[in-house]
Amino acid sequence: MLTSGIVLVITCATFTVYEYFSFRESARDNLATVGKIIAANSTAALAFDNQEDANELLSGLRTEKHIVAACLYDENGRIFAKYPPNIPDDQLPMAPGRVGFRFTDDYLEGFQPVIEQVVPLGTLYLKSDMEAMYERLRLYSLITALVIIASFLLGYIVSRRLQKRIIRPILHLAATSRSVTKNQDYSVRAEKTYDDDDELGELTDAFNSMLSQIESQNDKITSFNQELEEKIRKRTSELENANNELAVVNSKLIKSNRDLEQFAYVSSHDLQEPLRKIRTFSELAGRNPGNREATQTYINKISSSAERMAALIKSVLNYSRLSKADDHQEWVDLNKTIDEVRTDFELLLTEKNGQIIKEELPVVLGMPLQLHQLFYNLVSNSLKFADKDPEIRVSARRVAAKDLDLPKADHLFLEYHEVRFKDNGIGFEQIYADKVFAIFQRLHDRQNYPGTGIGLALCKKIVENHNGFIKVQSELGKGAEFYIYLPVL
Amino acid sequence: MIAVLTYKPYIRLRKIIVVMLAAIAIALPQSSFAQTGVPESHVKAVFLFNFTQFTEWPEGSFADGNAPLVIGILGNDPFDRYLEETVKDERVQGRHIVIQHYKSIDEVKSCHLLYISEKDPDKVSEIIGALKKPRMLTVSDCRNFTKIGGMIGFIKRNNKIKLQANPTAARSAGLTISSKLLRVSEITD
Repeated sequence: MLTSGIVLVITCATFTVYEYFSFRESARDNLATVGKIIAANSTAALAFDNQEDANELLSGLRTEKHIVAACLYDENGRIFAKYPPNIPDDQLPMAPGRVGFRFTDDYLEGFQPVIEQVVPLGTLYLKSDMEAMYERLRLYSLITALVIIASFLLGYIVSRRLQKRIIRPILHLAATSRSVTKNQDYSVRAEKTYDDDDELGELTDAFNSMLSQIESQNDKITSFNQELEEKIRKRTSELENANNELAVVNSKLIKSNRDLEQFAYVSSHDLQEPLRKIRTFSELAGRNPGNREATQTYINKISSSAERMAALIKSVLNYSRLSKADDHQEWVDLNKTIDEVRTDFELLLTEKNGQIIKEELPVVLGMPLQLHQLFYNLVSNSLKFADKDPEIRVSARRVAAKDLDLPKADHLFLEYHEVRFKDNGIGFEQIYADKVFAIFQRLHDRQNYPGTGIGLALCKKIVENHNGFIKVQSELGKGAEFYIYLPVL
Repeated sequence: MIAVLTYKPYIRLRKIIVVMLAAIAIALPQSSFAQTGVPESHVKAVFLFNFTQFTEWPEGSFADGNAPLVIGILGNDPFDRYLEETVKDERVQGRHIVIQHYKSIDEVKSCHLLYISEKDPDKVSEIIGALKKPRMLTVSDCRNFTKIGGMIGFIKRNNKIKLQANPTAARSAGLTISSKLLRVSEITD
């Protein structure tokens, strides 16, 4: 705008200056022409001394409003006729001057000789003001100013229209692409202004189709990602499941290992004694074959040792058989179980004058045979270690898992049935609370209290098979309280 | 001085002065070059010369390119030598001007401009009738000259010499009087 404005101003100024000079010249030419015409027509008036005609001729200059004064001089240089008629003589040159028209101050004036054929008859004087020229110049300046203003206005309007039609769409495209990049939103599309098929419209279309491509690619990538993530999740959860299963299997294997260890312990320890007896007494019997009494004693001892070994092995096998939790689970009413156990020990209870007092017991999900074995062993244990009339009390309540001080971290159930089995036997020191559940761990020797030492271990196994726990509290001389926790299902 | 004039013995003097002043007053507005203090004959002489510039003579009016333009004066020469003086070194369309004096109409040879110096209109009328010479501009200061067939006549108006022109008469003689001259003349056809 500035450049074109300057160019415009310079052009107009140059033009005006040119016009100024050109106008001056043409004004001079015009005046000279007028002068020649009047001079030519005034020859007769001068020749024949006809002032009326001369004045009439000059008065025709009325129509030329820029001629302010004129006069005719006779051949002696005296004023013959003048215009305007009333102009005072001192405003006219006293005598004719140099031929030709020139600019003086604000006027154009000069002299034209009046000649008929070759005879000089006088001189014409004309004086014109420059108003015409000034008017012209003023007009030119006005036009220049108007042209400049109009050009600026037009330029401004055109540039605005250009802006709208060209620049704004471009800026819009740029802004759209920026926002797409910033927000990573590929669903944005650039608007097409004016909806026509010019180059900018094409550009916008190309831009939009590019965005569509990007968007679809992006969607593909995203969905691929999601599929992958899904697959990963599935695999991970599969892995987790596998791991969990493995962990379970692992713990079971550990248990089995422990059982095997214990089994090995038995075979290396508890079985050794009877085996040693068999070997000893076999050897002794071989050494004294003639002594029938001795031999009979030896054979009896060998026989009882063998039986002892058989009993041990049987109980271990029994224990091992119960390593696995049976798949076959059913609802077992513990009240019935206790009644059946009571029936099993009917004779012994009568003999020892014992009783089993039971309160309301729950129904649990489990293996009936194993649960029977559990309570059978407990009752057997209590009756064995009773020093007075045995009194066994069985009761149950529900407890929340979080209220229990559970040994292991892998408890899975929120609520447990707590079955309390209390006897009034000889009891034992609390420090042996864990030991009593270990296989073949006996607190007393076999002389006083018979048994394989496997009964409570079996109880623990059975309770663990049912996802439960067993604890015992005891005091020497004050009996024992067994707490059996079975999950509420 | 005015006070002096009120004195009775100077009444006559006052009258004279008044007349003189009046005469001067009448005479003063004439700022014309030609006619203040210039004898009438001189004016007419100049006019005669000027006529030659405002008149066109037809083909054949001159013998050749160098032939002079002849101004003839029939009758008394009122100009003395002034006309000769006026035209002495002048040229009209490149031609010299020659003055010829004629005493009677028989003497009139071919001239281009004839000044008839006669005041009596009847006599002038006769002269015109007898002329029968074409291509001759007739000028006179006889009264109603143009009405009786003359081409350009001098008349006096307001103490100034004015012109009367009869362009028809001129045309029938084959002459063309410039419209510029006609403009400053009274036309009588």
